[in-house]
Amino acid sequence: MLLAAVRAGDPMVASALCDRLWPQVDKTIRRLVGRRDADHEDLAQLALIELVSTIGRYRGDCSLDTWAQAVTANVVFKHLRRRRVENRIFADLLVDDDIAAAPTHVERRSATREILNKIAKHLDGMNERRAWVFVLHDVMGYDLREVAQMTKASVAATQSLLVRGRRELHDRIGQDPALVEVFAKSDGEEARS
Amino acid sequence: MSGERYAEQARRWVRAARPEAPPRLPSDRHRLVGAVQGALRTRRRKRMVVRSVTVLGAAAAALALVLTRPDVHGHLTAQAPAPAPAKASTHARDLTVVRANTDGSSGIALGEDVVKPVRRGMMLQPGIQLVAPNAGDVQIGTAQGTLLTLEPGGTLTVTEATETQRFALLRGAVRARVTKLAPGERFLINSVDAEIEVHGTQFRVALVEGDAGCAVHSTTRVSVTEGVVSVRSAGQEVRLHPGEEWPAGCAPVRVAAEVAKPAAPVRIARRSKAPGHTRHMAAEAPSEAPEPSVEPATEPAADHTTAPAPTQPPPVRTIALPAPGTSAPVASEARPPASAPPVGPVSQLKEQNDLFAAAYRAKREGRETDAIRLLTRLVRRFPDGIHVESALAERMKLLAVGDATAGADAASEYLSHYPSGFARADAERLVARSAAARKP
Repeated sequence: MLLAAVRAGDPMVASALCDRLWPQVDKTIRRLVGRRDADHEDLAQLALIELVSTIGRYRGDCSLDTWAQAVTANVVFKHLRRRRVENRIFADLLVDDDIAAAPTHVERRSATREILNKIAKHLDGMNERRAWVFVLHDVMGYDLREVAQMTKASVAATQSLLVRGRRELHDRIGQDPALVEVFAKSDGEEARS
Repeated sequence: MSGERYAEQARRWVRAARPEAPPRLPSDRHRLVGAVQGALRTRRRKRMVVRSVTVLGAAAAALALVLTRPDVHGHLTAQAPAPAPAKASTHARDLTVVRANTDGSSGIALGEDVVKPVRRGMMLQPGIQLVAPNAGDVQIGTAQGTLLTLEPGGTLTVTEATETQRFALLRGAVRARVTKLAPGERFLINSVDAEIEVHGTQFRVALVEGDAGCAVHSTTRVSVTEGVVSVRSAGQEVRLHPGEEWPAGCAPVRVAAEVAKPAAPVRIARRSKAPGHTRHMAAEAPSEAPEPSVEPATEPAADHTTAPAPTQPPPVRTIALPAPGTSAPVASEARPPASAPPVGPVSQLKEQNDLFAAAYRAKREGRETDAIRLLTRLVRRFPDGIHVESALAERMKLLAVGDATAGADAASEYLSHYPSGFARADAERLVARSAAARKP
């Protein structure tokens, strides 16, 4: 009923539509731009408008939540490309203030921020699509099909981007002795524990 | 996996440092809902625009389709306002008057309670009877391209206008050009004693006075210009091909003007409103068949409708029309007109028809030898029969396929009997070809 009304352009269902789709829109934006991004509300509004105008393309092949995530992710990607003049997408995404506020030892928090900064720097230096597929799949936990919908690529192409992205990141980190040393130390601690 | 080891460690670090953030509610929900409402309204407007464009596009396509039909171009451009082409598309079988005189002598149309002058663009519903003026013809047609020309002085009733288009020719002659019929569609013209079914063609049907010299006592004459026409009469069906006429061997069809000449001022009466004439008709035609009858009028009926004023004072004739609501005034079974001479020996005619039909059937089924044998038998047995000319012509063509000399001999035989027959050109060609082949 809700979908039929949205397809017909009934303005009376606006409130119900917002209530239904807000959780997925909000979660996707938080994941992709960070929880304290200043553009969060604007992005959410843009995503909901985009969902209304493209509802005709939704054929029920996936759940409405998945489709809302994909549309929102596209809106976010477009926004990020316009907003970021310098390659700091992942630095802003991965290193936010909440890490600093985490209830851990100060030295530990500082080291974590430094390591995340280094990883984000490598991601920002990578092929953007490969980096996004790696972050969306490996870090954020979306499955390949969802990532494919978000990035408007086929599942096969997404799989290929993921494999190449992992390899590229591995090669980049391999050339960063400081980060390699941190990872080696971390491996040793895990092995001892 | 070792090639991606550092990537795996990077993933673990990032995931550990970024716990799932708690959901948050929009700070300004009212603004958000307002924006979505705006988007929904925009969507509704776009849908309406798309629908309008689709409807207009369909109408434009229908208009283009109809206007590219040369036979209806003039009618539609002159008569129809903008929405009309769409209607023409949806009611492609609707019959309208395509051409009529504009000088007041356009003829009249008679419906159940309608008597009005024929005007271009007039829709013709079943039951309408058209009477062409003596000075001009009336053309009716459909958007599909079918065109009927009712020749001067002719009278035609629209009996059916559905998938089956059926007309009844009561008087005069009508020329028909019929577009290719879709499956399930039929086009028929009934005359007094025959039913003519069309298979996409051009032909002419005429009603003539009695022809004593004709073996078939029918007042209907059919000549085919193009395509194939089936004529059913006296329980028999004959298929006519281009150049052929029905009945075969009868006098050539005269033009309508000649046929209708003595009927210049036409008085038209309905049976129900002219009891005197009804009784008179009943006396002459005891059966209740609603056949039209043409007879000299002794006095004008009270409710007669007078056709356009005559230029000369020819004899007055009255046509008794069927009462409103009655069925088509003709039957597919042959029925001799009241004034027709007595019918000849039916058994002999039936035998001729049977032989001729059997020969055609054999030809259709590819049994040429049987067809030739049957045609030869028909010619020998009934040398003065109604099918002789057609049989000789057909036999000549069949023989020519397998043996040019035999075909030429048959052609010579045809020409000796029918030097001006309808198959003269074919016969002369066969003779000439055979003669050329014999030359050293």
